[in-house]
Amino acid sequence: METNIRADRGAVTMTIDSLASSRPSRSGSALRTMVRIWPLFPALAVLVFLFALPLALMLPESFVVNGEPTVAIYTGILGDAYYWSVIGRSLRLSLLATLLCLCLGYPVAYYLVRLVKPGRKRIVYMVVIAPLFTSAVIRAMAWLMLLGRRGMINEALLNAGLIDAPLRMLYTDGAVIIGLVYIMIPFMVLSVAAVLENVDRTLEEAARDLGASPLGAFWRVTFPLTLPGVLAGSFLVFALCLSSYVTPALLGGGRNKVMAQLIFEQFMRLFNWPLGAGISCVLLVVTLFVIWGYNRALARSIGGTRGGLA
Amino acid sequence: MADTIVSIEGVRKSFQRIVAVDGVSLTVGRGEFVSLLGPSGCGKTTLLRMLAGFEAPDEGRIAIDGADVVSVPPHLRPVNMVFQSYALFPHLTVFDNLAFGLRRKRVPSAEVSRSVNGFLALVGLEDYALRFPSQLSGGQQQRVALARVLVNKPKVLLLDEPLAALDLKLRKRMQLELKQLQREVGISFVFVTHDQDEALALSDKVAVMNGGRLLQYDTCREIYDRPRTEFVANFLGEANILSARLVERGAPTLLEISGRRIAVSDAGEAHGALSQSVLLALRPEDVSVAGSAQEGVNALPAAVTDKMFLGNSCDLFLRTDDGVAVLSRGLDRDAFDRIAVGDRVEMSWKPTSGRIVAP
Repeated sequence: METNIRADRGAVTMTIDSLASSRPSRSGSALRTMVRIWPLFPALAVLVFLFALPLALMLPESFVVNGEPTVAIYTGILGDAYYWSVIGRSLRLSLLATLLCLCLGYPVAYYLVRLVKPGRKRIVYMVVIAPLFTSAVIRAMAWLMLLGRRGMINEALLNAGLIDAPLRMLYTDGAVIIGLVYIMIPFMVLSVAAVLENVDRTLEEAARDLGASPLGAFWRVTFPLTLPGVLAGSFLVFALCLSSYVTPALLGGGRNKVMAQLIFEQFMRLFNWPLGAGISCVLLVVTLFVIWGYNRALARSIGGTRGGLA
Repeated sequence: MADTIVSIEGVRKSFQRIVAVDGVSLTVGRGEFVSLLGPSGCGKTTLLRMLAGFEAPDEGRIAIDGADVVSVPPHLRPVNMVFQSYALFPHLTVFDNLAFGLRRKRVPSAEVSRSVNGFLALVGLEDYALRFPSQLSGGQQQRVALARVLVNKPKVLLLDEPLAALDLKLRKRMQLELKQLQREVGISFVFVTHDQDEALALSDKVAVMNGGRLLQYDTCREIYDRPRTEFVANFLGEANILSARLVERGAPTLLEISGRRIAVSDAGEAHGALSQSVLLALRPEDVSVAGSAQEGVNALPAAVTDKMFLGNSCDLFLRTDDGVAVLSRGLDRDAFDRIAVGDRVEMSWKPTSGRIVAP
C-alpha cells in the first residue's frame, strides 16, 4: 500500500513537471543539462530511491513464476473479467469523486480568492487545510459512525419518523465516494485557488462592461483562465483516489474492492508477491494512461478556449 | 453644448467612513471629450466606475441619454470602459477580444466579422487579428483595448487613465491618436487622468476634482485663464500665489501688496471682504521683469534668487519683499542674459493676467 501511494505521488510529480515544461528542452551537452536541472537533484534523489528503485525491484518479481520467466501473471490479470471489473470500479469511483471534488471545491476556491475579506483569508485557508492534519483512518471512522446502520444519520431519520427501517449507507459505493471527496477536497480547492489568485479581477469587470451577465462573465472569462488549476487539481485528486486504500477498505466493506485493496491482499494476506506486483504494475499503467489523457485534454482545452470558446 | 448625453446630479459615494465622491454634479454633451482631472484619491475613478455601473452612488442621480441608470447593471448600460490595465482577455485572440461585446448582443457572425475587421483596420491592427494579447506591444494592446470598446458603438466611452502605462513618447503619440479617433467616431469620451498636460491636450472640457469634490468644470482655456481656487490654479498649469489685501471692488478691482497698488481687471466673483486678505494667482509666463516701470502695468520689487535656461523657456526665480517665491517665464532670451542672480528687479504683469482665487 505504501509503495503504491508513493508510486502515484511520484507519477503526479512527474506529470506536474511535464506540465510546467511546456517548451521542449533543447538538447545541449550533458553537463549543461546537469547544471540547468540542479535544483531538481534533491527531489530526483528521493524519487529514485523511494519510487524508481522499489519499483524496479518489484517489477521483475511479476515476470517470474517458479523461477521461470513468464508473462503469465499479466495474461492472467488481463484475461480475468474480475480484475477488469475492479479496474472499472476503481476508475468509476475515482472519476466520480474527482468530479464531485471539482463541483464542491471550485466554489470554495472562488469564495476564498474573490469574496472573503482580506483579513479573513488566512482563517479560511486554515479551515480548508485543517482536515489534512487528521489521519485518513480517523476520518473514515468518523464516517462509519455517521453512516452506519445505527449511525447518527439513521438514528436521526428514524427518530424523526422519516424512515421505518435504517437505510443501507455504509459499505456502498456512495459511502466510498463521500469518504474520498471529504478527504480530497482540500487538494482541489488549493489547486484552483492558486491559479485563481493570478487571474485579474478586472477581466471579469471588463466582461461585464462588454455585455456579459455575471454568470456569463465567469463562464467565458474567469473559468477558462482557471482551467490549468482545474485540470491539475482534477488529476491530483484522481490519482490520489485511485491509489487510496484506507477509505475504500473501511467505508466500502470487503465485498466490492478497488485496486489498492487487491494489491494489499496479495502482498500482506496471501503473500502472492508476483501477483501483487503485477496488479500494482497494471494500476500504475492505468494511472499513467489517465494522466497522459489529462495532459492532452489540458493542452487541448487551453488551445481550444483560445480558439473560440467565446 | 445643448445636447446632453450624461447628467450627474448630486452624486455622493463613501466607502466605509471615507467619502470618495462628495456631491458632484456635471453634464457631458454629445460628442464631447471631458476629462476628470485630479490627484490620486480625489474620487475621479470612483465617479467613472459609477458611470460604468461597478459602484452604486449612495445619493444622487446618474442619467445616460435621458435614462436613469443607477439601478441598471453594468452589462446593460450603453457605455463601455477602457481599463487602466486594458483588461484584455488573455485566453482570446485579438479578434475574439473585439468580438466579445458583439457576440454577447447576439449579433450575427457575418456582421461581427465585418465590424471587428473594420475597427481593427481603424486602429491599424488588421494583421494582428489572430495574435494573443501577450504577443502585442504596450501600444498595440492599448489600441486593441480601444477598438474592443468602440466596436460596440457605446453612447459614452469611459477611459480610466488608459495611457498611464505607456512611456512618454508613445503616450504623446497615443494622445494624438485618441483625439483623432474620438473625432472620427463622434462618441462622447469621459477620460480620467491625473496628468494635467494630458487633460489639456485632449479635452474639450476639464473637471478638476479634489477630496471627492468637483472644484471647477469648464473648457481648458477657461480653467487655465480663470481658475477659481488656489488648488485649481496650481493643479492645471503652474501658478504663483501672492497674498494681497482687497482694497476696492470695481473695474479694475484694486489690491494692495507690500504697499503697492495692484489692479485686477477681471476679478470674477471676487472672494473675500474689503480690506481682508485675498489670494492672487499669476501664471509664470505672464510675469515679466521690466527694466523700467511702464504705465498701466502692475509692478512689485523682487530679488533674483536663481535662473534656469531650459531652451524653450527662461525661468527666473524671484523672491518678493514679503518672502514669497515667484517664478517668471515671460522673459526673452536676451533680457534673460542681462540679469544676474542677486539683482533687484521690478517684476511686472498686466492687470488682465492676475486672478483672485479662493484658498
